[in-house]
This record gives sequence, C-alpha cells and structure tokens, in this order.
Amino acid sequence: MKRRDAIKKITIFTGGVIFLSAGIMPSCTKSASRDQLSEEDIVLLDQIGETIIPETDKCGGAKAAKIGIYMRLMVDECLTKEDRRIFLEGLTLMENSAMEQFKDNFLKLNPAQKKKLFLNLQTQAETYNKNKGNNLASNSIHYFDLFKKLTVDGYFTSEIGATKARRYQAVPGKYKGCISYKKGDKAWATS
Amino acid sequence: MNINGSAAAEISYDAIVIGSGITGGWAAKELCEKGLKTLMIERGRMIEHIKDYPTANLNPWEFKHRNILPLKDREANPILSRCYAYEESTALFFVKDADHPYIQKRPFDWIKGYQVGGKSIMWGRWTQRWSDLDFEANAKEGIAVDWPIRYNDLAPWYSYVERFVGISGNKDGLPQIPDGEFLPPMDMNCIETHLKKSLASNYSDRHLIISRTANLSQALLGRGPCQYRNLCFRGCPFGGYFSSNSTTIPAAEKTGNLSLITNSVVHSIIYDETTQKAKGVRVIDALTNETKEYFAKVIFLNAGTLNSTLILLNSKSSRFPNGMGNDSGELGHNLMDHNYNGRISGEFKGYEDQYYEGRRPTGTYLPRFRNLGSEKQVDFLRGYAFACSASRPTGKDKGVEIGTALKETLSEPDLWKVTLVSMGECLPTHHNKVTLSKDKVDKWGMPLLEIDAAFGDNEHNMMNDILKSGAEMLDKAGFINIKTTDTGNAMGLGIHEMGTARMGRSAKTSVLNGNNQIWGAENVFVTDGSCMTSGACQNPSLTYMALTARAASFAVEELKKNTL
Repeated sequence: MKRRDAIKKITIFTGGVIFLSAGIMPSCTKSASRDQLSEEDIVLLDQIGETIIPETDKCGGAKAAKIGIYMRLMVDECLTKEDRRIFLEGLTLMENSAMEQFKDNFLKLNPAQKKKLFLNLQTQAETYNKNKGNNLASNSIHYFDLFKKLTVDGYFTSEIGATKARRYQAVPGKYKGCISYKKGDKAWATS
Repeated sequence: MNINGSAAAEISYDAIVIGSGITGGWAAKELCEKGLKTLMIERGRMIEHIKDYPTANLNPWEFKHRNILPLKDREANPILSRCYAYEESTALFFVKDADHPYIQKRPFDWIKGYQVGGKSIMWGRWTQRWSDLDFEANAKEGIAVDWPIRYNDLAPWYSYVERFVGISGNKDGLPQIPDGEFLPPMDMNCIETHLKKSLASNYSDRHLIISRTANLSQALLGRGPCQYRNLCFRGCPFGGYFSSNSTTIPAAEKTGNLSLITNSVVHSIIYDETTQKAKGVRVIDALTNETKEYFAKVIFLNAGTLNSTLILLNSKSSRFPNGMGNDSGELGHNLMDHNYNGRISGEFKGYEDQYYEGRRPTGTYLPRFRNLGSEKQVDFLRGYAFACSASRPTGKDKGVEIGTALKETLSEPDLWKVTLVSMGECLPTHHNKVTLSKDKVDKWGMPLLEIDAAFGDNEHNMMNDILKSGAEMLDKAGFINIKTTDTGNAMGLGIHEMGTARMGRSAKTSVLNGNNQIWGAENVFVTDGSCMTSGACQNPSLTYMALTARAASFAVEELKKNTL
C-alpha cells in the first residue's frame, strides 16, 4: 500500500493513547467541575472556538461552523480518557482565569478581552510545553492546545472552513503539478 | 452471475478459486474467459462495484466524526488502528481485531479485509515491475532457495496484466524496475522536479520518478478516467483505479462462467488418495457454521498469504500429514514483509509562487540504488526504495497567533514539504514462520494462526543506511528542518506479508513449483503472496497478478492436454 506521509495521519488522538499513563498535569490541582458537557456548554464552546477562529469579512468563523457541537462530540466519542479529562478540567481552569483577570464570567467578556485572556493562556501553554521534556510527569497536552487543536480540526473540516476559508474541490477531474501561486491565495482543504 | 442460492445447488465445477482479492479476481477472470465453469469462494460479504461504496462521495463534513475514528473503535482494534488507511471512511472494509483473532508469538500486525474484492479495494496501487536483480538474488547470495523463474518468464505476463489493469507511468529506462505498458504518467509538482534534478546532479544512481500506479490517467475498457479525488480507499464510483470489484470480477462475470459464493470460509482442500490429486474444497458457511463440499478439476488458492497457508496447513491427509504440499517442511516458513519504518522529512524555502491543482493518487518513487551494479554495502544485502510524498501543506498553528491572524495562517499554504518513506527488502528466513495453534480455534472451528516473526539484522542494518542516505539526499537538495524517524513498527504493518508457501526448484525445499503448482498435488495452484521466494523492495501486487495470469494460462493448457 502507498505510504503517503503516514506520520501526518498520526493525530493528537492516537498520540494521546501513547501518553495515557503519563500522569496528571501539575497545573491541574483543582477537581473538575464537569464530568460531561451539557447543552449550555455548547454556547461556551462556540465562544472558545470563535475566539480562536473568528468570523472575518471573508467568511464565517468557528461559531458559524457549529464548533461547539463538534467539540462535544469529539470529547464524548473521540478523545482519549486522559485528553477528555484535560479538556473538561481545562474549561474550569479557563473560566477561573477569566474571573481572576477580568473579574467576570468568560461569556460576559468582550471579544478583545477574550482574545487577551487566550493570549495569556497560550503563553502558559508555551511555557508548559518548553518544560515538558524536563518533566516526565507532564507529557500530556496542555488544555489550551487541546482547545485550539479541536477548534482548528473542526473548523477546517466543516463546510464553511473547507469551502470558504480554504479551497475545496469535491471532484477535481484533473491534476496539474504546477500552477502559479500568489500570497493570499487559499490553500486546498484536502490533500 | 450466480450468488449463493443457485451456486449451492451445484457442487461440481471445472475450477474453484478460493478468494476474490487481487489474485483471486485475476484467476477467476482468466479461467472463466478460457471457458472454465468457475466457482469463486469468498469468506466475507458481497461488495458490488459502486453500489456498495457508501462513503465514496462524502465530503469531510458529512462524516459524523470528520473521518476520525471514535475512541471505542480504536480501543477495540489496537492492531487495526496502527494501519494508516483505517479511518471512519474506510472502516467498513477492514476486519475488526475481535472478528479474526490470531496469536502473536512475536509482535506482528496482520491487517485483513474480508469481502468480495478483499484488500484490492483499499490497496496502495503502486506497481513497479521486478527485475532479474530480484529473481537472481537468492541464488547469487545463497539465501533461502533460488526462484524457479526469471524475469523473462514473467515479462510477457507483466505486459498482459498491465494492459488490462491500466498502469499510469513513465518509461524511465531503469534496469531495476523495467518499463511496462503504460498509460500517460501523472505530473510531478515543482518540489518533486527540484528533488529529481538535485539527485541527478549529486548522484549517478538516484532517479526520482513518478510512481507507476494502477490509476487510470486515461479511460480504459469502459473504466475511469481517474478524477483526482485521491479517495481510492473508499472504492471509486468512477472506476478510476483497479480493484477486483471494478475490473476482474465483472470481466469474469461477463463470460457467464462465474459462480460466486460469499460468507464461505474454506476449511481445507480435499485430497483424493486414489487419484493423487485434490478433488475439491471443504467450506464452512460463515453465518450458519454448516459444512459443504465443492468439487473441481483445478483449484486456485488465492486466500491471501496467511490465510492460504492456514488452509494448506489445515488440509491434512495420509499423503500430507503435515499440511498439503508440505513435503519439504517449509510450509508456513520464510514469512516476509517490507520495512516501511524509516521516515525522513524536510521542508523547503522557495517555490513560494508555485502550487498544484487536483489530488494526485500517487507519489514519486526513488528506486533501489543499494547493492546495485558496482555499488556494494558491507552491512546488509539487497536494498530499498523510497516512496516520496511531496506537498505544500497548509500553515500550522505555531502557538503564537489567535484570531484573525491564526485563521489566515491556516488558510494559506506554507513551505513545501517532502517525506521519504522507506520500502526495505526483508530477507526470507526459516525462523520467521506461522503454525497452527494446537488448542485454540476461531468461531468457525478453524485453528488460530500463530505468527512468529520479526525483522532481523539485515533489516536493522539497512534501516541505519536508510535514515542516513535519506537525510543526506534531502540535505544536498537544500531542505531544512530535516527529521529522521524509525517508527519501530512490528512486521506486518507494511501489509505486504508474503512467503510461507514458496516457489522453488525442488519438492525437497519448496512448496510450489515454477508454475505455482503444489508439489504432489499439481492441480492446486497457489498464486497469491504466499508463493514468494524472496520479497524484493517493490510493491508486490503487480507481480502477484502476473504470476496468477501465467499460472492460469498454464493450468488451462494442462487441462486441455489432460495432464492435470
């Protein structure tokens, strides 16, 4: 069989299986307030997604792509148990950070505040990832990276993401090895 | 075509073909077209071309899990989950781990597809010919036994099957992969052309070519052409690639000579001690566990490497107490695969004003260059090819952007990227073997197969060179961020399991003769991957098809002469 970049296909999800026994993150000291995602959480997830991939004048963002429903399905049916736990605990940690930083509920923040919060969380994730190699107990994915990963995967496999943000041809009908490209032209949605 | 009911009424045929995969389809087509009333026996369910490809036209967002497999499926299938082609869109064609257990004495991933068409539905389609470099290697090096045939024996049959299959490719003039009968080649993209030129200027023995592939770059015999969707593994509603379902089975059906029974597990081949021939097969109904027998003058065993050998080991008689054709004691031995574990990737800054359009269902191929001509390696025998995947992936989340900037980055292509995947030859060795469990059986009462095999020193030494040579070639071509990986996967995951009923020149050392006949039961032909005497490094299916067409032609001639 053809072995086209098999590594590319090893997604975060299978990676999670490998690290299943890697232990808990040091930052996760609080107990999770959720053991599953509710209908109301879809609104929260939509806002998380929309902050990461917002609507622009060119096309809709993650909310329009129904990212909340997608994320809940992934959490319920596709993530490893470890990643599921990290995701659910991460929601609480993120909400706590919003409260600490802006003294308000995440859903009540304006888009600029949400973005600022997420840039901080991203810095935390970056620091966490830098220390990963030094600490065997923290090999798991950071919850914010998981939020991003699910948003990005879900958005760009959605109809809006694939056909509006990127370019999609269901039936190309031909192959051209070389076409010209200029900065700003969209990428193909599928390879 | 007769399916189940009407076929069950009859029990005698001119020929029986066990299996409907890539070689079973060819055997049935050839035998039917030459006028033989042929019964094809398939253990799995019916898959009709186009009608039974339910995922073929789905867009990414139309899959419930966007083509990601749910955790429960991955947890229930630890072996199958390691297969690169097992996705939500293709899961329906793969056998689940629990449905056909086997025993791993050493780790071995056995990836299976039980349905009409077998794994020909989701095969990789790369089709380079073998050459005498491969057929002569065992004899020259004193490894295993000599092949009973040479390239010249097979060359006309390569041509014969290529003309019917439809192989897109270029006449490259390379002796290690002789040119064939090709439909027009597909384009290379600009980074592939760059790498090709770099290899040509830095080395005299490295030639990057467009991989020969069983995808139709032009319509052929009412099939295709390829629509460049690159969704082949789901079954192609355009008939754009070769499978038994799209091609050989319809051809066999057209003759009116084909009967096909599904859900029928072959238990054994029945040997007649009086005539000293096989007389038929014993079949277990997969749904009712009822046993039936079918009879024929000639039997083609094409159940797939490991299942063909399982059937032979289970076909015991006074004449063959240790399994049919096992006078030599080699039945079950010399299991091989290909070593795909080496991965070398790199990125390239440049050609930023270039892109491509359409999804080409093949890649580029760097044919073997080690131990070729005057090139000699001291650490290992044989050689390897590289499958080269080259694309311009979309921008990645680098962990610094959020919002509009991130959205833009991810919506545009990034640097060109190339990944070389090794395709290393694996030597045949006696201790890589399969046997039947003495006490464990599956739900049909068939003994479980015990697989006891692993890559050896030659494969490991070759891997060191693979990673070194691959990284060096990308470095010389100006790639950056070069990464090398040995995935360390177990044998089997190349899904090129072969050997275990090898061809040879003597009944004392092999299971099959030069025409794929079983020594001592010459009306039984085995022409799937189990017949292989060595493994070469090319993708093997084209060679299996050529061997099958050649053996079928021989069988019909012998039947006419009444010598079978």
